[in-house]
Amino acid sequence: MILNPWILTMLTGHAALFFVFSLATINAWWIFSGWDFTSSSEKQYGLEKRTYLVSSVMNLTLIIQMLMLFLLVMAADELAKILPGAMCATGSLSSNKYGFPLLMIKIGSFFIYFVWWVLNYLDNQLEDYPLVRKKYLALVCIFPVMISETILLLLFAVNLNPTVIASCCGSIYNESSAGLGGTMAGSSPLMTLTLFFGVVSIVLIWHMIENIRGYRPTKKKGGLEALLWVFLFVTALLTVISFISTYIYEMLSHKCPFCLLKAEYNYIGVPLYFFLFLATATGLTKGVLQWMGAEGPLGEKAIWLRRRLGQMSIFSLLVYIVVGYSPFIIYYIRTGRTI
Amino acid sequence: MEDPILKTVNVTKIYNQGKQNEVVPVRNASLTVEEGTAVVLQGPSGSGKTTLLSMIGCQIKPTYGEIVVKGKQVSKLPEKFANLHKREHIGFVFQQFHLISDLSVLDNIILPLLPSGIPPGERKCRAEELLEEFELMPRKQFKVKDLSGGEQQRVAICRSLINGCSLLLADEPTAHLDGQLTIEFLKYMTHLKEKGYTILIASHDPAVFKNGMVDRIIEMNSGEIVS
Repeated sequence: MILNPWILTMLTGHAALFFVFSLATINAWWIFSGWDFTSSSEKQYGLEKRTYLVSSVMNLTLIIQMLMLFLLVMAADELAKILPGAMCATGSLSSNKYGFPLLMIKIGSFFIYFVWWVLNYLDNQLEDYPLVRKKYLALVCIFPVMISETILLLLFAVNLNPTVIASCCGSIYNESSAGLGGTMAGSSPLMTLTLFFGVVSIVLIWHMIENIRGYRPTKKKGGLEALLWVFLFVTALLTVISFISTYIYEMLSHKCPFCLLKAEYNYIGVPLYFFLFLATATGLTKGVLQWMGAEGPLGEKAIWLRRRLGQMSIFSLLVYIVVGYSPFIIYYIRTGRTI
Repeated sequence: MEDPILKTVNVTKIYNQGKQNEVVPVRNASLTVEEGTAVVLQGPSGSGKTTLLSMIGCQIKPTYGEIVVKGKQVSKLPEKFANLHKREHIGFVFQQFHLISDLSVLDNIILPLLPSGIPPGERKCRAEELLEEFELMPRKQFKVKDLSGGEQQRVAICRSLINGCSLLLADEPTAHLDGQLTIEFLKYMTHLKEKGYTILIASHDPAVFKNGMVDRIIEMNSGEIVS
């Protein structure tokens, strides 16, 4: 283990969040199992007070937990300075077998936490706590994700070894190398672009159809929409590695998705990933809300929220496309050719 | 028969529950108040009048029991909605006037409307109507600290009515007033009752509960409603 400030920050921060999350989960289970809104008993009033506390605490906890994904990437980038062979976050994360699984679970949990966060927001918009039981059951169910994150973070931190030579991003994101990085880097840009823009077209057409009068949203359509956004996210990452990176680095051999975040490349990765994550999180949540279905006042609020999330997801997706594909357009205008 | 504007069922408040210093200021309080009536909660100091009034006014939550105002169970409202309810439906006159002494009469009256999103023109218009009604128009731009006690009381009433409420709660409103000002205060309460307001006053002042405008007296003792 390396006693580096970044690692210590990650561990301390995560430990605090884990502690709060654990307490919230215990309370969530009590609320879930004892909730009866029609009752005016002392127990029910106690649970109502408790839901206010848990909901407020989790609101903040999950925002910080989502930001921890970016802290992990920043920490991994800083650690590259002390890990021999590592040039960026890729090297640090691949320096032991827990780095990339940790990153993946953090990306997955980012979206899960975002969905819960929006559900909590929706629940707080109404007087009668319509989603209390659902949202706290969901919180109990996502606690294992937090446990997995904690275990992987600990294992990653403990197994960081500055005497072992790490790989650089050039060797991991190389079409000739084995593993997921090599496969992604070796993907045909034409294929990944076709896939990505194919999904983008479906998303845009879907959005337009939804705004036509008489459109009937169903649970099934909501589920499909959520899946579509997950697929869009995966294809977007593929295009970042196989195509976008080429025009940012202007090198065929450099396809690292992390170096984009560096100052040498004007931090272009920051807005790129920000809008990709925002588009996916809002689009996915919109689908989940529709999949859950709701009637009455909750349904009306959900429709309003879905509309806002839909607008935000499309806007973010378009910004992502502009940010991601402008280096290619600029390169093409400048040179009159592609790489 | 119409539903009462206010109904409480077994309302109880317990502080420091289970501890040595446990206090039960209100125990199993059940009452109903019909619309357009004036009701006095009467009882000695410490009988639970203020606590019950605070629970009805959504300032504190009961430990258990139901409080229904205009058909809505306000005791179960989440904090945000309880505040909204309080802001839109309840007028509260406090024992101390709780006015901001360095602000003008007009600004004090308008204050509760600031978070409501009502345009400034309409806010001013509403305030001026009340100033007219309570004979405070000449004092409109005076600072509150330059007013007499009776005038300050009237400003406090105007401020409690500016939100367009129909239920007015008053907690020991005459405690700091002399006999003449108490009579003046009750004159204004009578006027409000005639306009259709429902008034619930917590008081142990005989001048209040013996006044002709009072329709009903609810007596409290040791946290319980005794009659």
